[in-house]
Formats: sequence, C-alpha cells, structure tokens
Amino acid sequence: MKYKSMAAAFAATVSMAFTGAAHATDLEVTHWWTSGGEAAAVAEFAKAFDATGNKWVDGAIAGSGDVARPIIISRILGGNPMGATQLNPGHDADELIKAGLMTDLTDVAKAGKWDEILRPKSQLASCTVDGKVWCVPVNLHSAQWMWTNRKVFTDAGIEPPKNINDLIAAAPKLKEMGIQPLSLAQGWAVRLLVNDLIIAFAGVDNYVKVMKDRDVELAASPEFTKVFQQIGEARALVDVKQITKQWNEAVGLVINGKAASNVMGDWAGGEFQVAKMVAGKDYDCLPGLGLAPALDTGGDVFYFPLNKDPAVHAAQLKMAETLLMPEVQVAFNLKKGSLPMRPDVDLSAANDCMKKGLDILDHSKVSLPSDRQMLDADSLTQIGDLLTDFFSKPDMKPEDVQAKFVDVIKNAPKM
Amino acid sequence: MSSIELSQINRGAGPHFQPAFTKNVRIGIASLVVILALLAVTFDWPFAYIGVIQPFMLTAGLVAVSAIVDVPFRLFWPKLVMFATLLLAALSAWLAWYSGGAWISQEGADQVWKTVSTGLVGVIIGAGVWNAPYRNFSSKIASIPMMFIVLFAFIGCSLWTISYSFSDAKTFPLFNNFVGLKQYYRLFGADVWWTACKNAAIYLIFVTSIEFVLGFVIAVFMDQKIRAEGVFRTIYLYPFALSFIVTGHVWAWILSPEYGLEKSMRQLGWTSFSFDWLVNVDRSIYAVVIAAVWQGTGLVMALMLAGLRGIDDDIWKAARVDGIPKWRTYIQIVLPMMRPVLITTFVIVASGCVRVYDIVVALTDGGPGTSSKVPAQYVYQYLFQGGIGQGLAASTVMLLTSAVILTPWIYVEFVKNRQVR
Repeated sequence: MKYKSMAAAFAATVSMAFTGAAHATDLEVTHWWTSGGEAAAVAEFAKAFDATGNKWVDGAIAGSGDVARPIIISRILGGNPMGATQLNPGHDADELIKAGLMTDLTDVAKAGKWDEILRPKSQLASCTVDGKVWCVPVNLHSAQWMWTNRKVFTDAGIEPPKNINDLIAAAPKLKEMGIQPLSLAQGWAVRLLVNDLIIAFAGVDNYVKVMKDRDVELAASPEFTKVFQQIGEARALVDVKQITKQWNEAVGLVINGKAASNVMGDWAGGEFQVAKMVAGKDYDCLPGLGLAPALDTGGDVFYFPLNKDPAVHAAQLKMAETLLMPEVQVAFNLKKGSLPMRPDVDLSAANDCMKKGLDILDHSKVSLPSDRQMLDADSLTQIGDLLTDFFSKPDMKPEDVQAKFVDVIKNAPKM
Repeated sequence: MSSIELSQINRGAGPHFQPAFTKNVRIGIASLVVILALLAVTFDWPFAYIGVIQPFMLTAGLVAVSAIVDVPFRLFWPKLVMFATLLLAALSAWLAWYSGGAWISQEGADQVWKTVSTGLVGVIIGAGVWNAPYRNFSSKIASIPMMFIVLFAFIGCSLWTISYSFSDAKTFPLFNNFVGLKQYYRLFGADVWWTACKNAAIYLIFVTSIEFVLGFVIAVFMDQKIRAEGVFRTIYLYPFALSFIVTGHVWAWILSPEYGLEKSMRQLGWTSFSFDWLVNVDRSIYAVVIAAVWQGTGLVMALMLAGLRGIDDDIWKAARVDGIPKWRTYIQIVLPMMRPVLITTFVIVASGCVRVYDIVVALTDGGPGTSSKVPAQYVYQYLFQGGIGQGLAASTVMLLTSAVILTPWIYVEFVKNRQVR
C-alpha cells in the first residue's frame, strides 16, 4: 500500500511537468536599469505598455550588464524565458537566435516601417539576422566622450582643453597641483578609454577597418605602432593608485575636482546633472575626445524570447510596437539621457551635450558601430584583459601589446 | 558481501528472496514507466532544453535507476552504466565531430543521439523497475541523493567540463566544433592567466604558512589553562564568522590610503608613513593575504586547539619526568602526534586557497590593473561573458593542478600505508 501511494505520487510529479502553467497577458520584463534616472525611464515604458491593456511585470536585475547578462541568458537556455528582456545591440543573442529561442519581429517591423524611420541604419541591421528582425532598438548611447571640469583648469590658470592633446599638454601642471589629469575605472572602462584613444589617434576609418573588417595588416603596421605608443604616453595621465572600481566613482572624482577629466559614455552626463552642474559652464563634454567627432551607436535593445502561448506571443508583439511609439520614445529617452531612435520627435528639453550628440548623429557622414557590434564578447574580454594590463604596467612595451592585439583580431570569429 | 551470499543471489532465488510487490504490481509500475517514457519522448520533453541539460538528465536517469535496481541486477549495473556512458560519450563526440559535415545534418545527428540515449535509458530504467521491488527498497530510495551527488556533481560535471574545454563554445554550452588544444594554447599565451597563477601560488604559500604558524602559536597560548579562555577563543574565532565579501570590504577601507590606516597615521603626526599595498601593482596580492589571514587564522587556531586537547596527559607527564623543556615537547612530541589534525587543517585551508575568489573581488577586484587577479576570476570572467570554452579550459587546468598536488598525498596516506599494514 505504502509503495502504491509512493508510485502514485511519483507519477503525479512527473505528469505535472507536462502541464504548462497558463499565462494571461502578463509579461515579465528583465533589464538592468536600476539607478534613479534609469528606473524613472523604464517606468515610462511600463506605463505605455500597461495602457495597451497588458501588464508589465518588472524583473529588474541589480548590477551592471555583466551581472545581468548571464542570468538572462541562462534563464532563456533553461527553458524558463521571460516575456521580454533588455540586452545590448551586438552579438550577445546571436546564438540564441540561431537556436530558435527568440521571437521573430519581422512583421511588426514591416508594419511599423522601421527600416524607413529608425536611424542610424546600423541599429536595425544589428537586430537583423538572416533577413529577419529579432529585436527592438529603443535608444542610442555613445561611448566617445571626454568630460572635463572647467573649474579645475581655470584654477590652474590653463585654458580648458578642447581635445585630448590639450589635456596631455596640461598634464604636468595639473600633476604639480596634485590633481589627476585623467581618472579611470577598473574593468570595461579601460577598454572604453583605449577604444576612444584609438579612434582619436588613428581615426574612425582605421579603427573600423581593424575591428570590423579585421584588417590584420593595418593593425600590425607602423601606423598603428605609433597609435599604441601614443596610448602608452597617455598612460602617464592616469594615476594607477587612484583607479576606481566603478565608473561613477571615476566620474565623481572629476565632479569634486580631484581629477581634471574622465573618458566615459554619455551616461556620465546624468552624474553631472545630479550634481547640478551645467554643461558648457561647469563642465565640458567633448565627443570623440575632441579629435574625431564621431559617435558610435551603442544603446539598448529588447528581445522577446519565444513563447508557445499565443496570448503571450501577441502581447510580445504589442510591446515591440509600443516601445517605438513617438511619445513613448520621447518620455523614455529624456529621463534616460539617451538619444531616441526616431528623428521625428520633439526634443527641445534636451541639454547641451545631448544636442551636440544629436547634431553629430544627424549630420556626420561617418558611421561608427559600437565594439559589441563588431567583435564577439570573448574577444572583447581578451582585449580588455590585455589593455588593463597595459595600463597598469608602465614598463609594458607598446610593441608587445600591439602584437597581442593583432593576435586577438586575427583569431576573432567572423561576424 | 560474502561469496556465499553472492552465489545465492546469482541463482536469483535465495532463501531470503522476498518480493515487496506482487507480480501484477511490478508489471503495473513497469508499464507506467514505459508509458511515461513514451509520452516524454513524444512531447519532446527531455529534449526541450539545450545541450547542457541533456547529459544531466541522462545522469539523473542512471542514478535513479542504479539506486532502485535490485540485487541480481546490481552485480551487473556498474558495467552496464559504464558501457552506456562510454558509448554515449563516444557517440556524442563522434556526432559533434561530423555534424558539421555534409553527410549528416545537425537534425539527423540530434535524432541519432536522441534515439540511442533514450533507448539506453529505457533499457536501464525498464530493467531497474522490473527488478526494483525486492529487498531493501527503502534504503535504496534513501541512497538516491548520495548517489546522485557523487555521479552527477563530482564525476559527471568534471567530465563535462573537461570534454567541453576541447570545444569552441562561446555563449552557449554547445559542442559545435572540436578544436583540440586550441583553448589551452590561448590560455597559456595569456599574460593575465600567468599573473593569476602567480598570484594563486603566492596566496597559497603565504596564507597557509602564516595561518599555520600563527594558528599554532595562538593555540599553544590558549592551551596554557588561561583564565577566560572561552572569551579569547570567541574573539579569535569571530572573524571566521564573517563572509569573505564582508572581510574584503572592511579591509578595503582599512587598507585604502585615502581613508584608512595611512591617513590616520598621518593625521596622528607620522606624516611620512606610507602603506599603499592595496593600490600598489607589486603589492596588491599581499594586501589580500593580510585580509585572508585575519579571517582564517581563528579557524586554524580552533582546529589546532582541538588537536592539542586530544593529546593524552600522560605524554606530558612523561616528558616532564624526562626533563624535556616545554617548547621542545610541543615541537618534537606534540606536533608529530597531531599529524591527522594538521593534514585536515591543511586540506581545508589549501582548498580554500585554490578556489579563492570572493575576497579578491571585494577587496581589489583583481586590480590595480590585473595585478591581483586569481584563476577563479579568470574562469568566471570567460565562462559568463561569451567564452565558455576558454573558461572551461582554465578550470580544467585548475582541477588538474589540484589533482597533481593531492595525488601523492592520497597515495601516501591511503594506498601505501594500507600496503604496509
């Protein structure tokens, strides 16, 4: 008798696994927008989606993308997908798409004429695999900005720099005053800085040729040796002992005047705003480090993991449509500090730096993809390790770093 | 099990052969299982997940069955399981190798794998269920968790790690291409990996030796029948109650030149005082050692103290009668007698050193630059950021290194001693 009931319990447990839980049109949305401004921005999305009669169930994951990405991907892999998720444009989700785990958004994209409206074209292109659209780009962020504290320079009796070369020239005087010329954060911030330095010193075209077209010869050429030497010199701007753990701490050093400048993406602008500083008066933002005024087009995209429930599927498509509606785009991007995906919206409330960015975006002829759009995560981690090493060891030779850099580029898988 | 018992079992019907179920119940259960298996395959249930889950579910099936199968079958199952595992491993590797070829598609390869693995599991489960309800049914059920952990966690996952380190898996744990030793060439060509290995060695040597010496000395002091021993023991043991993360953050404040020790010494008037190990590229790993020693010494002390208390009082009396000074008694008599405690302590401390991760993350995050990175950090970094093959190659090297260190000791402790006895 005892065994019979055990067997029955076993059978019941097994059969439970076959009955999928029925969802209404609740969509769980995972993202890593947890800071004050980011949370306010995401609330705009939630409000707009709830207005369509569905329900946004917030699944925020605290920490950076490096923390959230593994969680998101392993949930999709483990057969427990969320309704929708934030990711960065690039190749993070390529393998998920190829494994057939994502929802095809081609019809929504066609109905909404995304290919005509959205700019720049590279955004939609990185959402497109095998001619089908798999994700919704919701905003644009760029990483090529140098932020300087004007007061630090005027106090030192120096004209605030117009570009990175001015900063290098001003460095000895700043150091004399006990001010770090350039603050830096640990980890991915180093890769961001070196990418920006390569763009500034080698030019946008050469940078894209190496990173995207894998021009190994160019990367190994004397021209690039010179670039690496210049980067080697730029190491002197950073005080290794003051490398911070988080990017916002490094920006904080600029805000409180302990450092003269920082190289960071446009999301750093939020920190200056919170500190009640005014662009152009208290601080300067120099796109492309003042030398190569080109902005890459990173940002955020939303993917919708495949769901067999037709109600959920319909809600996913509805949400994809909602995220790009003009009024939703404005409300979200003003709070996020990023640039909207469509040009046909009203952005009079934007600050100087955002306007500078919009101007470059709308008028610049050069297109600069973000590094995640050009290389796979594995190679980027390798480059990050290499460059972090380079920056913390003053005796490391630029030629050696160049040789290893070329090696990574050579072995990176084709995109 | 004696040989007499075995022969009875082999005949299949010993005197104590008592089925727990009647034949009808057995047929019922067996057919239920077969129906469930058929349903599962029809609805694609065990295969709805990608790559990584499949071997795990297979192991789960093998374990469940091996636990409930009965005596006649038990003599035969280790060989069957070994054979099945080997066959599946060979098949997986073979399919993985050729699935990129033209003559068999990815879907075709999947189908073969699916059919064969389902068949094998089906045979084993069917036989198991048929034979299960004889003796000791409840104890077999009870041992399922243990067997599952051993087969799945220790053996299964290690084998899986090693085999996937020969693949070029990126974001997904999928064995798409066999790349041989490529991941290892890359690993040993990476400066960061060597920095991490060097740091691990420094950490292991310094932490174990300092903790052993300090822990033993403190334990000896505590052993002098002092007053309020409980209070001191609690104080020394308290740091161990803190997690590595908390320890790391606390010491990050203490060692920070901007806010911590250096600043307060300077404010006290010693203006030339400098202690910048935390942010010094050549010293940062030693800063980690300081924090780790602070955290771990209490535990070593407690273990050593227990060892000291385990020494018979008669030994002490004999030493006193012979007029041996106290310090010599400790070092030349007591210490060698504490060998088992020392070995246990060493294994605990050293294994903690090999897997060190959280304290480094909290204290320095591998910095400045990459100067205090440890191997576990390297593994984590690649495993979860699109370089699974590389991360697994690194963890395989960690596993091998630990094995190389431990094997001679295991041999001496268990194999050789037994032979002598």
